[in-house]
Amino acid sequence: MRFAGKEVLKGLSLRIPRGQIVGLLGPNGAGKTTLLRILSVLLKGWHGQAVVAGQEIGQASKAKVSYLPDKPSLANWMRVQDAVHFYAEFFADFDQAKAQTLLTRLHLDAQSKIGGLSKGTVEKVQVVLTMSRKAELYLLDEPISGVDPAAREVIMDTILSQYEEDSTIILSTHMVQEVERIFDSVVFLKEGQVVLQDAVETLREEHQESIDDLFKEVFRC
Amino acid sequence: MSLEFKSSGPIYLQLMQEFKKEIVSEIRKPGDKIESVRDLSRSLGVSPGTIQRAFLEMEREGLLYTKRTNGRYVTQDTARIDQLRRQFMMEMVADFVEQMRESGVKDTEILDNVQQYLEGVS
Repeated sequence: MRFAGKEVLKGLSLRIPRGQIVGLLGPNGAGKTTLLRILSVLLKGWHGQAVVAGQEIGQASKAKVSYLPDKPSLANWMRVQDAVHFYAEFFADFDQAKAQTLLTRLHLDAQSKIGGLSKGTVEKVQVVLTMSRKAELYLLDEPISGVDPAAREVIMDTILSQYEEDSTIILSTHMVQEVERIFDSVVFLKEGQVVLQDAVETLREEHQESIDDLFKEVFRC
Repeated sequence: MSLEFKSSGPIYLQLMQEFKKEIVSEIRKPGDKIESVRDLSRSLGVSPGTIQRAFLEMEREGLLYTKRTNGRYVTQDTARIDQLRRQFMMEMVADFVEQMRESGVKDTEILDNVQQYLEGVS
């Protein structure tokens, strides 16, 4: 597909099995965000076919997908509590009680204003909201980039604690080392094309190196 | 349980190795209950699928067993645990002997040196 005159995804063909945590890995500009935006039905005007949980993407598939954008999507004037209500109103599958429990567990104050929170804290709030939906597919765009290691750990823990094994998570990142253990399989995206897709354990066995090392090899300029 | 993973090699195998070590050294005793897949997944930051695979593999090897709906336990078959201990020892001995031989040490010297070391002579 083309975007602002530039072709972002080129003849990309990809099949992701249900019930896995999948790493969508690639450097900035590889097309990760574009792919996730297509799957979350946020992007229009592209050419091709995409199916989520047996359904051509559109309004019906959108309800099955919980999407965490790479850039903060909550308005600065909102309190955390407002954001929770906003999600509850917007998404039929949103579990408000679960969200409250998670906020408490993460020591996030429901009365704080989004605008007054650190980047890592906003990311935690967004992850709580995204994972409090009972979706079939979770699309998490760079949930750990730009946050400190302690916040990263909390975010990963929140994702793993809420993950149901009959759902699917696609998590995009360019920071592979920090998260490679949570993936069942990985997709390497390079200049809009899939250059590698396989189970993590198979790759670690065959190459006798970490996914991070493999990633560095494939993307070395 | 906390665990430093090596950068290469399948994670489920490393996890199994760690569990076996803990069983042999009786950190996990016969009949001890094992953490749930989800809890271990969270504490180690590892995909639940990977944890599950390690558990199933160890069940197949007779080291863990599942009580219906009531979790997973270390085997109470002490003969099986003894066997695991022997296997562990042989692996360590094999590693050690191989290293010595690679360094040009003769087998008789290996034996002598081990003996001396154990007697506190060297």
